[in-house]
Amino acid sequence: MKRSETQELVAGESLIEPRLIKAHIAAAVFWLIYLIVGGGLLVAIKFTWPNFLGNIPELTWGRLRFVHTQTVAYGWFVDIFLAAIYYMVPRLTRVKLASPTLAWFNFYFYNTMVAMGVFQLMEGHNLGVVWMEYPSFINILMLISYAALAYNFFASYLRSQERNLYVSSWYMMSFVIWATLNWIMGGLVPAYIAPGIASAVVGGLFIHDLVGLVVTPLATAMIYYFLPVMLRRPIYSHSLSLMGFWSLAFFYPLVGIHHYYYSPIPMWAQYIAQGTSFMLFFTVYTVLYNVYKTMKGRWGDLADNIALRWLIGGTVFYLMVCTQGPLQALLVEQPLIHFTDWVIGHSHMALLGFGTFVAMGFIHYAWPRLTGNELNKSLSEWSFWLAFVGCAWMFIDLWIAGLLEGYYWGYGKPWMDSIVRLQPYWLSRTLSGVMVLTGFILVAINLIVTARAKQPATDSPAVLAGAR
Amino acid sequence: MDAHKLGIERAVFIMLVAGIGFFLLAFIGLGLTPWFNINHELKGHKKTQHVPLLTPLQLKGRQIYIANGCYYCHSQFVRPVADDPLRFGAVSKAWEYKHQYPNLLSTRRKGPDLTRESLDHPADWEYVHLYDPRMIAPWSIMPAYHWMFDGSPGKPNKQGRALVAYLGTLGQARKREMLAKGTLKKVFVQGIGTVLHYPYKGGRLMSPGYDHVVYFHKAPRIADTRSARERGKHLYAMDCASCHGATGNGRGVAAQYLTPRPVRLNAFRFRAGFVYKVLYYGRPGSAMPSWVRAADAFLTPRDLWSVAYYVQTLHRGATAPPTAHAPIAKTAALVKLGGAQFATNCATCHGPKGEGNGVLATALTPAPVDLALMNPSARWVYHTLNHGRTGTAMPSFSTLPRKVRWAISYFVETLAKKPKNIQSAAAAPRKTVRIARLTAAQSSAHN
Ligand code: HEM
Ligand code: HEM
Repeated sequence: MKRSETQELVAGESLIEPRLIKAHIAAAVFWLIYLIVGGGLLVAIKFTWPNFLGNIPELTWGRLRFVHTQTVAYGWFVDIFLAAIYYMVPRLTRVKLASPTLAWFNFYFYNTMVAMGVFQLMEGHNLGVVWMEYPSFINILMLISYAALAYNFFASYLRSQERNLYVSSWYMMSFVIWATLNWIMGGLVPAYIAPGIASAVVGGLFIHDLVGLVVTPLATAMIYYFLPVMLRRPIYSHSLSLMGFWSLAFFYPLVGIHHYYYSPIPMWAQYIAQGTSFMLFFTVYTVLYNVYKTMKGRWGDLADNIALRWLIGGTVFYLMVCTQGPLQALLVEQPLIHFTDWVIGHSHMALLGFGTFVAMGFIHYAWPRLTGNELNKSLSEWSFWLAFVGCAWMFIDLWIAGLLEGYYWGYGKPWMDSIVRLQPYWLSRTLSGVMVLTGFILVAINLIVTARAKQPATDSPAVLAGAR
Repeated sequence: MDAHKLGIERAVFIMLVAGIGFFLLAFIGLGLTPWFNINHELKGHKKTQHVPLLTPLQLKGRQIYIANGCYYCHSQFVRPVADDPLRFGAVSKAWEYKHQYPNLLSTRRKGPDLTRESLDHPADWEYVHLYDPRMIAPWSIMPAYHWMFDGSPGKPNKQGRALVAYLGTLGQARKREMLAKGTLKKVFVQGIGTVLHYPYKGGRLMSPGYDHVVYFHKAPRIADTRSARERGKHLYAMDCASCHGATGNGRGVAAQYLTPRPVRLNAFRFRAGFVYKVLYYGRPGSAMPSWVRAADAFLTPRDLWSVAYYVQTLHRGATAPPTAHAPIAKTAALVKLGGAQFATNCATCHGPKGEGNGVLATALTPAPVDLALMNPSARWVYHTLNHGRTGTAMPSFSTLPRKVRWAISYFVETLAKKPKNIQSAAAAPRKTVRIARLTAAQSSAHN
């Protein structure tokens, strides 16, 4: 490692707030495990044993399902995104966080809100807007968090002396704005302003802005930041980064109506959504081409760089999910797959496969540097492979189940047939979920063990290897 | 300093154009524009007058529907594609959703679509089903909502009542509109009741989407074979036993909570065609749904015949309910007395020949049964005369002398149009039953 680079790293270390980042990572991983144990897995079990924990209103399917999805988006993802922002932004801007106190306040406040959200949903307080199910008072209070984030975030860029605005910064800046605007739109319009079908129009935009303008940009920012840093080589092409960013910014907000195809929403709007969804091929492939070109000749690194492996695993899922996405967004395909488990497969591959794996790449990269200790190697291996195989199993299972479901309905079988015949697939999905969960629990154990270990020398080569 | 400015300028550009600009562009282009497009279409739209404003109870029910995530597994829009219109009825239109905040269209279906739910099931069915869906559909994976009841399906609490009140509104707007426009008609079918009928004009259905009806018209009757009965037995166990009982004794797990109680199938010697008709139309005024049109049912003509043949085999003359009084022997004189008494006491509803077409028949829900086609045993008739049938217009005739009651019972037996095909599987007639013809003939005769 060149001397100047090491110095840069040391400088970077002094800019960030390690404890804050660690706290956010810990909270995020907690929510990840909670949302599986207290949400996904219970819900999946109830497909097979519907009376399981049956008589407790708080633990019925229809309430836990939203605990699962809301905690995915606003517990796990937002927490890990905040950690990533606090990790990346000071290094990219070369200034410290404007107000660590505010950031700490936000940490406690935001996570309290998420916990409150879980509680409220279980108590049956639900706004009824898809992916925006927290009751409105929580949605309003959460705006404080967005404001606190925006303050710290923009203060950094305003005070920065950096001439270059790295591509990750573009994504993060847009993320902060999109997340806030989308939050306001989704919380306000479908439930209070737009009636009936218009509410579905805006609700559709909200759903896809959430995955496309919140999860995707931040995950992409992480890829663009951590990939070069892990490989210690620059990203392949600047102009491809530009194209990927601008086409995402332009097309993603235009696709939301594809969630309500063949509904009474005016057909012209559905046709536009179909076209813009198809254009996303372009966005995704430019980003991924860039990523794989950067990887060229370095695939061998996957063997012993666990963080890189999570990250690249995430991009593979991204490739698949975004090949699937535009195709399932075609009107010809919708009669078969819409409403079925196929889409559940898609959403798990998107958020669990793509988003979560990329975030795991960040965690596995950052944690040793934040704690000064190396991760346990065999725990790392086990957790990765359990999660990876479990995920692949789950996605394939759900696609088959979804296609079967679509065919049973399409061939005019009695409704109950689609339930009875899918039972084996649902049981198998539960088992795959247990496997994924085991993987993530091992991740958590690994993080705890690493944090508790006795501090070795800070500049140990193993820790610094791969650093920027 | 210069460098600093450059960075800032680029940042501001990105945030204004990508962050705010494109977001707003999309919101205006694909949010506001379709929204105003819809508003424009609905302005002064006469159909919206059919959309009811929900009562406070129904609104509370909608809230409970949301709180328990019902909207996740049950969509509320019928698409013009795939099997949607066949299963769930008329394709959804934007005006039907007026006054809905937020929409409950949903993105998934684990259970059937509920857009037209109120046309399928009455409240007592909904209560039992909510209390424990597996009381009605043994393989259902829907949660049981015990806490909406005070201990049994017969005792819904405020939550249960509100939720069922809300379910009762689903599909009503469209029904009213179609009735007003004439694409949906109410037709009285003898022995069945007043059913919703989808009329033809120039050989085509006036309500697109209900092509299913055509499919059923053209379907030939299948033969009464062993394999048909086997299929019927399977379907009976899956779909019917929970109410009518595994042996057809009318005592399924759900039975005691339904008013009127499910028919005791083993007390009748049905004609298969009649069972087919009931399965096809359901029995308005009771929890018996149409097994063709109800969203969750969706059996084929083959299935209906199979069930009908199987139901014929359930008959057990000997297991008719015991009566406190020993039967009086059947004599010609007694039957004659019965005939006279039937004409005075029964014919106004059941019709002179017991065919369910008395002068009052069209006014009653559920409509009087067709005794000629249902062919009950004398013991069962006697039992019904003694007790009446709760939840229907059939009163108890226990004030009539015992002899007269037996007389009527014996007389009813003679009304039967004997089932031709019972227990003669091989020689089953290959006749095509045309529902349309049945309907048209009967409705013109009795409307
Ligand atoms: C590993 C164990 C998990 C299991 C067993 C599980 C199970 C489930 C189940 C049963 C549903 C309801 C789907 C349905 O209606 O059929 C669901 C929904 C969902 N889950 Fe999971 N889940 C797991 C983990 C995750 C994770 C880690 C994420 C994301 C990070 C995730 C994201 C989602 C999303 C986005 C949905 C909504 C699907 C949609 O509506 O399209 N799940 N999950
Ligand atoms: C090329 C990009 C993509 C396209 C064109 C696309 C298309 C679609 C379509 C058409 C649906 C609705 C399917 C249906 O309900 O029938 C859908 C659902 C979904 N997509 Fe994507 N997708 C893309 C990428 C992604 C990405 C990157 C993510 C997450 C990071 C994602 C997450 C989801 C989720 C969570 C749902 C389920 C939403 C719900 O609850 O209804 N998608 N996608």
